[in-house]
Amino acid sequence: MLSEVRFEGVHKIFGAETAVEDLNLTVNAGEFLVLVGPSGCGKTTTLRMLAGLERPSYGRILIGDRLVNNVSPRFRDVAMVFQSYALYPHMNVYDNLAFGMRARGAAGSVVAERVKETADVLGLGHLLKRRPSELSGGQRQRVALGRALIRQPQVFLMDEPLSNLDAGLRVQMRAELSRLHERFRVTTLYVTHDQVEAMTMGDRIAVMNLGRLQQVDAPETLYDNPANIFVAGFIGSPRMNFVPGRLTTTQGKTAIEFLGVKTPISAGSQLTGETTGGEVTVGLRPEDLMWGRVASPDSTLTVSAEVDVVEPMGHEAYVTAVCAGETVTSRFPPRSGVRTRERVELALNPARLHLFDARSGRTILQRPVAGGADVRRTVREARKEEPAEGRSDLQRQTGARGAPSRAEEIS
Amino acid sequence: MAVAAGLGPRLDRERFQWSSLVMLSPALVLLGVLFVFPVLYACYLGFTNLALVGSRSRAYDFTGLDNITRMLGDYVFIKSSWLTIIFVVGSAIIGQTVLGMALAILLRNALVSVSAVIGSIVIVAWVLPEITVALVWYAFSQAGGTLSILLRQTDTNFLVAVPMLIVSLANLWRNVAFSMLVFSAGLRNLPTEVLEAAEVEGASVWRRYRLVIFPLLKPTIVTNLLLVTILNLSEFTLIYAMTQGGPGIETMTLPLYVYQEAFVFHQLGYGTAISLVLVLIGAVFSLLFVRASRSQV
Repeated sequence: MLSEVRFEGVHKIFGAETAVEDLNLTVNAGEFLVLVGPSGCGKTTTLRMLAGLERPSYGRILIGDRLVNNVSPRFRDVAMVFQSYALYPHMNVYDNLAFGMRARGAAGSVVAERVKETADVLGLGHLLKRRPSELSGGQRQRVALGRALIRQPQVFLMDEPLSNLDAGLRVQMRAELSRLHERFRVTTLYVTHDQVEAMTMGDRIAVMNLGRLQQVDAPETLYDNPANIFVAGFIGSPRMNFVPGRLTTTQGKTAIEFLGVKTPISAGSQLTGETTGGEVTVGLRPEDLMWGRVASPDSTLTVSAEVDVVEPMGHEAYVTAVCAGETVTSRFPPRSGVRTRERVELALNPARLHLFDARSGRTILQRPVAGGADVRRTVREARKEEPAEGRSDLQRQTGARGAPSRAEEIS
Repeated sequence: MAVAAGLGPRLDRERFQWSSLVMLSPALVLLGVLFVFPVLYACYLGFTNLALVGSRSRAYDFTGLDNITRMLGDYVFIKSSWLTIIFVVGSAIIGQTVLGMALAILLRNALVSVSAVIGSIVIVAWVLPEITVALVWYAFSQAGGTLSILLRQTDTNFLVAVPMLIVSLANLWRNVAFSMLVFSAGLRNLPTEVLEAAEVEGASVWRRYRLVIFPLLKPTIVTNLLLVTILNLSEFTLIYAMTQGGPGIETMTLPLYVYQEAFVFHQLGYGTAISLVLVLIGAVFSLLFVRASRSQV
C-alpha cells in the first residue's frame, strides 16, 4: 500500500514559460512531504503532474515502481484535496464521500460501511444528508478530506487545503491533518505557500522558487542550515536579516566583518565554499539579534543601532533598527519601552551567523544544528528504525476505523 | 423579533415613492399602448367573428365560445396542433438540444484550430437569412437534389415523401448553433476543480458527464429548452418558404394555419383564437421546464 513517489528530471513548459525545471525529488513511502514556495514557483504544477492533470514536458514520474507519465488520473490511485475543496455541489455529503468508491465499482453495502467509518473519523456523521452549500468552511474541508481518505489511495495530494479557512480553524485542521497522517501513514505531498504549515506539518520540506527545487530537508535542518539566500529568507518569520559582509584571513584564521564589527568564524562551524573577493552576505535571524540588556552570555558581539519602528506582538516585539546604514529586524521582549529614534545596543551570538556567497547566494558555512544530533535525524532515518511497526499499524487501524474510541480521538 | 419589540416601525423598511411614477410614466404609457393593450385586445378578438375584409371587418360581434367549438371540430386545427408539437419536440427540444450539446462537448475537447473552424461553420448556418436556408434545403431535398443522389434515389422528392422530417432537419441545421453556443458557455463556466476531482476519483468519462457535468449544467439546459421552445413554436418563415404548409397540410404548423385562416381566408377572429392556443402551448412547456429546474440544485 505504501508507495514512494519519484520525480526524475521533470520539466513542465507552458508556452514560453518554464513552470518546473529539472525537478528531481523523492517522496519516501509513508512520508509527509511539504512543497513550499511563493506563488508561481511551480509547486502546484508539480502536484498536478503527479495527479495526472498535467503531463510533464520532459522527465519521468514514478509512483512505486510504476512509470505514470501516460497513465490517466483515473488509474493512478492517488487522492487529491483541492484548495477550493471541489465538492460536488449537487450531491449531499454521503454521495460526495461515496462517489470515488462507486466509480470504482464498489458494492453498495461496502460503500455504506466505509462512508459511515470515514464520516465518524472526521465527525461528519450528522451532516451526511446536507449539501455542500449548507456546510461551513471547516465542514467542507472535512468532507474534501474524507473523500480522499475513504479511497485508501497510495498517495495523498493536497493543494493548499487550509488556505480558505480562517486562522483559528487553520491551526485546528493543521493538527488534525498531522494526526490523520500519523494514523494512516499514507505517502503525502502537501503544497502550501505558508511556511508555518510547512514547518509544523512536514516530515521534510521541499522549497521551490522560480520552477527550481532549492532544498529538501527536515524542518529544523532547513531552518538552521538553509542552502541559499532564498531558502533562508523564505523560511522563518520575521524574515532573516541580510547585510553585506567581508571575509578576511590573517595568519590562517578566517574572520567576518559586517555592521562595523569583526568576528572569527565560530568553532563549531566550517566554511564549505570559496567566495569571490571575500564578498559575502551575512544572514541574521531576528531572534538571534537581541536587545543588549537581555542578551544571553553567548551573544558576545554588540552593535549600536537607532530604532526605526517598534511592532509589539504581545508576547514579544519586533524592532526595526538602522545599524551601520543597514536596516535590521530584531526580536525584543514585550514592554521593553524602547521608542523610535532611541539608540539601542543589539547583541548577537557569532555562532548563529549564516554566510552566503554574495554573487551566487549559496551558503558557504555549515553550522551545527541547534538542539544536537537527535533533532537533525531525518525522516528517512526515523522510518528505518520503525518501519515494520508503522506499517502494520496502518493495516490494523484502517481495518478498525469505526471504533468509537478512535473517532473520539480525532474529533 | 423579540429585540425589536417596542421600538416602533422599522426605519429601513421599503417605501413606495410616488414621485417615481412621474419618472416611469413614459415607459408605462409606451408599454400599455404597444404591449398590454394589443395583447388584451387580441384576447378579445379571439372571441369575435372579425373578418379581414367585407362587412364583418367593420361590424363584428362577440361570439362567445363559437371559435373554440369550431376549433374542436376542425380537423386541420387538430392535425396542425400535433404537427406543431412534433416540430417543437423533435426539431427543437430533442434535435437542437442533443445535437447542440454534442457539438459543444466535441468542440470543447477538440484542438483550438479545429473547434474554431467547425464552430464558425455552424454559426454561419445560423447567421444566414432564413429564406436562404429554406431555398438551400428546398434544392437539397428535391428529386435529383444532393440528398436524393446521396441516398441513390434520384426520383424521390424528399420534400414530398417526408416533408415534416425535411422541414425539421432544415430548422435543426439552422438553429443548432444557438444551443451549441449556450452549452459551450455553460461548459466553460463549470468549476474546473470539481471536474478534475471526479477524474482523479476514478470516474469514467461517461460517469463524469452523467453524474457531474450534466447535473451541474441543468440550469443552462433548462434555459436553453425554454428559449428554444419559444423560438421554434412561432417558426413561420422557413416552413412557409419551403412548403407553404404542404403537401396538403402535411407541414401546416399552427403559425402557418393562423396565417392561412387570418390572411388567406380573411377570418381574423378565428385566426386570433388559434394564435391564443399557440400561446397556451408555449405557456405549458415553459411551466414544465421551470418546474423541472426548481426540483433540484
